[in-house]
Amino acid sequence: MNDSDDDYLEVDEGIEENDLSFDKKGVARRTRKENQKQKTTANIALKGSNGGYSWEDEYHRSWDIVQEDEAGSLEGIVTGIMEAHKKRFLKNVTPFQRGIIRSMVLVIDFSKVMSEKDLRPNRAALTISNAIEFVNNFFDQNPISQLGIVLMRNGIATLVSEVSGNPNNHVEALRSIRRLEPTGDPSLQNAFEMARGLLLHTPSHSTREILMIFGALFTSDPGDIHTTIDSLVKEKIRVKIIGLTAQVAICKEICRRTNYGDDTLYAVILNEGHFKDLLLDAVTPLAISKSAQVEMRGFTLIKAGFPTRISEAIPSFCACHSKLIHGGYICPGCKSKVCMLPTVCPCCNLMLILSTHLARSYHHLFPLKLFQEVPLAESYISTNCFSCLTEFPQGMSESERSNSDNRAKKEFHTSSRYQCPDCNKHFCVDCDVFVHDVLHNCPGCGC
Amino acid sequence: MDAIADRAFQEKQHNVSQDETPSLLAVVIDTNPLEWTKLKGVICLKELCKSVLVLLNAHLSLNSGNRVAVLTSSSLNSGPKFLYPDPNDKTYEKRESLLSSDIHRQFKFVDQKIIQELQILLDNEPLNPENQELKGSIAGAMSMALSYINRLTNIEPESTGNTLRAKMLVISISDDSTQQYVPFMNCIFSAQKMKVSIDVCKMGPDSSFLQQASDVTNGVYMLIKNVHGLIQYLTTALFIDPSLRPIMVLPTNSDLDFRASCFVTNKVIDIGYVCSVCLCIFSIIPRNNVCPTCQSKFDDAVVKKLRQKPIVIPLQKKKKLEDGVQRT
Amino acid sequence: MSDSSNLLKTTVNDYLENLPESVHNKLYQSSITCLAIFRLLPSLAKFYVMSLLFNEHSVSYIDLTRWIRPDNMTHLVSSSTKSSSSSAVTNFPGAIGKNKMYQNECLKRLKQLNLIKDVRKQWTNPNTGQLTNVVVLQLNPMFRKNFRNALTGSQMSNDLNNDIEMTDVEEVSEEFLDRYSLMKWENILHFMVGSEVPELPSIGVLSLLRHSGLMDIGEENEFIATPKRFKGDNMDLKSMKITQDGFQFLLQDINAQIWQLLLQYLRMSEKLMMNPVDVLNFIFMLGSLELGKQYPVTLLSDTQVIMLEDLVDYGLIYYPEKNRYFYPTRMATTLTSEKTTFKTASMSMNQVLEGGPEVKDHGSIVLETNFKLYCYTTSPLQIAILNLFVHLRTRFANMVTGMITRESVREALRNGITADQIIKYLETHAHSQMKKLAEEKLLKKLEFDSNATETQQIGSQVKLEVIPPTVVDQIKLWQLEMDRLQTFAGFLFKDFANAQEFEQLANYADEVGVMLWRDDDKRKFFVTEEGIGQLNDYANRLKRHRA
Repeated sequence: MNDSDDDYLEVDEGIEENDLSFDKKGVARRTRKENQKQKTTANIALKGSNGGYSWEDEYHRSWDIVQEDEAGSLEGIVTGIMEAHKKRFLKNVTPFQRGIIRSMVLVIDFSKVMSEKDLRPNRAALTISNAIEFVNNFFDQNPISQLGIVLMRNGIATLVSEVSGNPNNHVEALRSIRRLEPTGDPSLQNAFEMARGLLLHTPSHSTREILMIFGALFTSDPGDIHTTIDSLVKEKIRVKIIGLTAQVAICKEICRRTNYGDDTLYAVILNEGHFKDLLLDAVTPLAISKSAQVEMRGFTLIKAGFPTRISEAIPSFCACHSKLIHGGYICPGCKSKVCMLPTVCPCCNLMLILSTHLARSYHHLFPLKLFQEVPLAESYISTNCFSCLTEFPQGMSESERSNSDNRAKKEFHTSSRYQCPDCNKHFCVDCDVFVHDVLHNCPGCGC
Repeated sequence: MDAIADRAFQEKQHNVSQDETPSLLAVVIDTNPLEWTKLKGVICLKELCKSVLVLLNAHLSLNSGNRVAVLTSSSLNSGPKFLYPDPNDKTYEKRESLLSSDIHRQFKFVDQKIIQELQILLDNEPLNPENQELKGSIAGAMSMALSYINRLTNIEPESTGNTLRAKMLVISISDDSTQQYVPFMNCIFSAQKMKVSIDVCKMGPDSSFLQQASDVTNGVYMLIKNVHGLIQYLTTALFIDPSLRPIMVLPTNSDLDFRASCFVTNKVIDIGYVCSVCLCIFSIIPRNNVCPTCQSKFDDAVVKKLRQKPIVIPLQKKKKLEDGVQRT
Repeated sequence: MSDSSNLLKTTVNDYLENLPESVHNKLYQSSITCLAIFRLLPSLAKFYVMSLLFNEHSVSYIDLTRWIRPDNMTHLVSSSTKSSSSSAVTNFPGAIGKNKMYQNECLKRLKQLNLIKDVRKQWTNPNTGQLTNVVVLQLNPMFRKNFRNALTGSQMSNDLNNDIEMTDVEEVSEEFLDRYSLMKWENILHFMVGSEVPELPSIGVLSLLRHSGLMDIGEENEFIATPKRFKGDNMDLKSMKITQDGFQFLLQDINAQIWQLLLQYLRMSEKLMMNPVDVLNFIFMLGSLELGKQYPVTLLSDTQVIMLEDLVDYGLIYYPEKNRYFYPTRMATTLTSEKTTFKTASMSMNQVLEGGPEVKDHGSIVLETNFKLYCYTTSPLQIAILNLFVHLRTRFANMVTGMITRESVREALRNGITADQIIKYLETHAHSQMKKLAEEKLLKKLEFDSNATETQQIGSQVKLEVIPPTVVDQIKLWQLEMDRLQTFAGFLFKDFANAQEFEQLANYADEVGVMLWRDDDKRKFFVTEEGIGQLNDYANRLKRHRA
């Protein structure tokens, strides 16, 4: 109690000195106050501009930010807002060593709380749609990995689809559980035990991961969950949890212990967009932490076969499903026909992949450097984006910039140019997002 | 009783719709001067340009909303460049969208612009090529084309209300370069995601990268032996509109060689070993159990198991006894 | 959107196909016409023409067929291989797949336009040495030559595109041309709708409207035998009323409208002994001219000069000084364009005039499920058209709002507009946001449906619904409501002397099948017109019997 009072008083002094931060229109903003002593950094981060806690601020109305400029046009502001919005896609990229071959179990909470309607249409339905998108993206980015799906419902864990590398099975299975009603209590221990069982036989060269979507605030377990956590740690299974309601201490502990002390893998969603972002974050391979590396005696070398494709006029059976198909792939080890890749040959147990599958993961290992924003200046060298030829807005002189009366507007002035650190070419924000999200190649460097 | 959500009236089924969405053709021309000298007797850049211009005119004549873009890949002076549309001529771009019904004029305009820009490009080439490095690559030009396509298909239609389909034609004369493998693959995967089909017109040596590119994106790969028929190839096999692709049989061979080549010995291999860190492929287990590319040490136990050759148990003589029981 | 351009294509194509071969050959002498006709073909036909264009030899029919993927008669089993061939095909007799039908249609169209000729040749089979009949297709040589010229850019001689130095005439700005053509065109449309026009369209236009069936002289005038009638049709023409076809015309988009009028003009011009080839060539050439440039009249033939004056009335051409130069307007230059972004002349003009990134919506009607309608427009023409079937309530600076009510739709139906026309109009002019929402909903629905049991024809049940289905169904129901009464002309029989007579006649009428209604209690029945003769004969026979 005392503590919070003190903080309040202190911040009050701060307000008189930093008058610039107080916006006349009452827009709530967070500003950094150098005068504040960083007593409790967490508390300060939560404070709003009026000095109280964020729920004491004036209500932040989106239409207050958007102001017309002198000519009466909203265009400058709108483009600025759009760019700020797009910037959030840019993530930190440094070339870590990552576990490219992954075996993951997706655990979905289907207890009673998932029928809440705080996410449209209800939590369970939104989770399933997001999970389907996740499955598609996962196999797109990690073609040689495997995935299994487990459901927590009625106090027990049920297997929805086996661990396999075929995305269609998983999507079908997810669609079929749409019809189930979420009931009962969630049980973390049962889910983890089942996931452990599924991951027991994974080969040593692949990473073992569990991704859990947890909506409840409690768990009803048959035994001591800490023993389960210990066995998870022993088997080097890494757990990532996405909470839908609020932070739960046991989840935090699980994530921290299984990920060698890394706290960032447990997150609670703020809104639907954030939910999707967190889920799609799990698509990128996890970085191998240093402490894990020390424990290992070395990396694994995987024996793999690269089959040739054949096409036939007369259909023949495939060895994996006994289906009649025209053409397929011939395993170089035992010369049997399989229908699709990547897979493990059913006859000789050789992993069969195409070099294109490996190529899909290259961009994780050789990530593209982030583009830097070109600072505001009077004139620029470039008039058009290098790769898509959109026009850039003109430069603005110093006087024009300081004339803009509204601080809100000032924040949104940008040069709209982003520069590649290697080839120094300018790109627009759309190209920037495209290059970093989809292409992973800088057009200017060409290499 | 019908459900409320069902329509009360059935509507006639339209017959096979003739899809008239306009399309964008992006042509990437390989202008690597070193490679062109190799093809000296066979074909020269001028001939190729003539054929390409006819192709562009044909594409524009298909539909009044069709657009084109032409890029060159590399030169000694600068990297990949847009020949058309020209970034410096802003007035043109706006006019194009309003006056696209102007057929001949548009042809003339486009053709003239491209020839002009190409001339400028060639004029700027330095005269002594020995000390210059080649700047730019096919993968770079393809990336530029893809971001241009991305802009026109995803971002602009919200304002024009028109959907645009896109396809890319790569005219290449050079061999594959292993340096380009990773960016090339990135281009192919993003083209696949954007549903842009890549057609390849290849002269000179065969290229497995480009074959894979056209295969993954549902495109056409043609290795041209007889260059005098270039126009014909360009306007028939390599000209299939994106809206026609679902019903047409594409003229490619399906027996592609997907096998990888070893990073160390450069042999083509069926069965090999893959490093789990850097994903490079070897045909033999490297010495010292260290990966040559990423210098990561391999686990000894695993390597030992891999090195193990299968053990052949020697045949043991079977003694036949009178009572018929075999004893080894 | 594509529907109306398809409609446009079919009308133009129908006209072109009905021309004789000699006319076709003459048409193909101009490369611009070749290009314009090429653009009107369906995509597969375009592909065929292109593949035959640069091929010196003729191509066999079978080779062309090989390009098309064979259809599956059974539902597609998704094969997980990347090979393009499909799983086993089972044909039942008489069935033709979609692709084959499309191909046949394209070939038929090409033959009707005399672009392709098929020739039976006898080739010897190299293996067996037998003579077999092979069908071989050849491209019309005139077309081939001129189209190649168009593509390769050689010979553009008899073409107005050559830059001619004209320094003594002042340039007319694009805005002026736009405003001029807009004024002329909207004049015509306003006249059709019946709103006040500052100046009536010319006699030529009016007679065209009448001949095309879009407007008609009202019935009242026919029965007035006044001397006025002998003054010529002019007075009557000015008081014409719009017909049902006229309403359909109003609801189409501008390209289709202009073409419909032009085609009508073509038909009329044949009667006037104008050379149809010249006329067509001129129309297609107009489509390739540049906006804002002036072209001298000296390059045109006589028929074309006559046409110039007529076309001024439609707002296609601005012809200030007779016999010197003319300027094509935007409507002329977009004649052969398929750009369906120009929904109405006024909308496109507005967009250009205001220079606007602000006016970004093409198609600007927003329709809610509670039947409320909001339309972003300022053109009085569009408002007048909407007034035909919407009860407009409020008008703002850039928008009108109203409701689709039973009365408003009934008014429209009474005037001869059908429900389909109304729905099509709403769909073509829908706001782009509505289309986007409809697409999203469709995707969600498809995803939801595909987890259910597999259905073969998902496509037919789940389609893009831009207009809310409640509104569509309700408009159709209101149309059905109008058909509550069905009338039959006939004869009523009543006042029978006794029951027996009634029974006899009624049963006879029943057996013969001419009876429409009968009431045994009141002893009345109703017979059709045709049946009266038979019934009379029977009744007479009965009388004779008794007598």
